[in-house]
Amino acid sequence: MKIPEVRLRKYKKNLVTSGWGVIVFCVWDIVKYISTFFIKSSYSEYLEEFLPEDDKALYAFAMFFTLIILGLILFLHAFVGKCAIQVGQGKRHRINYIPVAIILVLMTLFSFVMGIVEINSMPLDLSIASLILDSTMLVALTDLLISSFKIRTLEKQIAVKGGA
Amino acid sequence: MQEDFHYYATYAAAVLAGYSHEESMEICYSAQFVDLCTRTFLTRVKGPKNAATTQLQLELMDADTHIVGLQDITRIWASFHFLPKDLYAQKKHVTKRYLRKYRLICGPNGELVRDTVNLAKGTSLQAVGIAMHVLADTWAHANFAGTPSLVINNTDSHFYEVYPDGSEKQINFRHTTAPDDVEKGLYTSSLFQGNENSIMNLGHGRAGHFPDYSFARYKYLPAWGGYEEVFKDNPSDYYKAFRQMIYAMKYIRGEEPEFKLDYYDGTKADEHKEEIMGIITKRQIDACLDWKAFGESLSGKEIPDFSTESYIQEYLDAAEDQKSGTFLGRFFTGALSQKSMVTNRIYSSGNKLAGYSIEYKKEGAK
Repeated sequence: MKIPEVRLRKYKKNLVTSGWGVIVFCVWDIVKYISTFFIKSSYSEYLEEFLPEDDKALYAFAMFFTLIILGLILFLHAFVGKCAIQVGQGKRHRINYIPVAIILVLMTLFSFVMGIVEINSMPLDLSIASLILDSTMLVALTDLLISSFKIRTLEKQIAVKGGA
Repeated sequence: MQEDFHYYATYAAAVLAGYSHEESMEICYSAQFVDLCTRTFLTRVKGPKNAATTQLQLELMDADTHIVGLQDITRIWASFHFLPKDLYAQKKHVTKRYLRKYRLICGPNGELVRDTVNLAKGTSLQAVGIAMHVLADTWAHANFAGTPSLVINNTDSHFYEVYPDGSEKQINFRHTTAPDDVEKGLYTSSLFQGNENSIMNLGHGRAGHFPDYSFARYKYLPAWGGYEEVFKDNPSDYYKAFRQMIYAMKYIRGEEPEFKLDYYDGTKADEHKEEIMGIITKRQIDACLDWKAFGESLSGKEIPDFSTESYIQEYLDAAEDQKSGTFLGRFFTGALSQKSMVTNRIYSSGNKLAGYSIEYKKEGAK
């Protein structure tokens, strides 16, 4: 068993790598949501199934709301990734990004499961690519969570050892 | 290490080991020449290309990094600048491919150092100089390997210079052509390259010239270290290197019965310890002037500045069957022997990173 300081370095490096992974893969999430709508139909046709005809104001609001959602997805990933990187570099100690990371895990898991369930609704290569990327994102997020908790534990252990 | 240690400090060590001024000059010239004997130089003097003991940056830029190219690079750098410490080192839970590279990590007091010194005994002063270069570099270049490898030679932002008062400063290497500034703690290193076999990952390139500075004390995370910090104390190591060179040359001259590892000359160097440590610990990129003054004070003779041109004409003017008797000819012979011995040892250990090899002493150049 390696000494705590060595393990702490390892998990901090892991956290920085996972943080960057989450930020980079959020681009995939954006692409996935947009492509889902465009593969099934054009987004505007999709909206027209649910919105009253000729209600341009509602249509515009729906488009705006969609953009807000995409922006929120981007923000959540960037927030989690950036906080994780800062914790890994020792520039931040609060891990209040954990609840957001858990939400992202659940969202990605849902997407992964739906990807399997609806594997035939998209071209096969796109479905497989989507599953691979979702699973990679899950790995990054899981590693991020585990590393965050390990860092907390090890820092406390080192603090106690230092105090003793 | 640099010219200050390979040329001037080696001269001083040779004088302390009992060599005359003229003999010490041949030894120290050869020691420094190991850093300059490139294929480009050998082409110019029409010497044997296999005797190359180093490669220019331009040669490295042009070098292929397929398996044959990598073997060629490794043969040179592992034989003369990054002598492997333990060709049979073990590490758990790694692939064979990784283990081959791990076993090329350089370090002092390995069996190959003893083989290198023994190889030089009873041969020419040029071979002694080559051996001293190799021996000295095992101290400065410890923890790096003479093969391009990201997973062995990479460093990262966790790189701190440790000052004599115990304080530390993080080194953020830059990637410019500007010279290192020791006052401001600005140092240059090679660019990060994610390719495992990139030339940028050869030797201590990822730490720049920093490991070659005698004053440097630093701690960092080597890529092979499993996140364990390595502390390198160059002042202490360089002093040991100096003492070990004296001991090795005493053995080569016949004053010592054998060359033992982890054993250092205890008298000759210690008489001048304060002066030597003063040179070693002084924060300067180039300690040539100080070492030169020290060497001249020991012998009472002037040490001429190093020049690659010194022995070229002798070699060029010699007849074909007389070339091996010239200064450069003897150097080339020594270099071929050293290269053959090291690559043979690497090959015999089951490691083909330096390619196939023959025993040069038995079979000659082919």
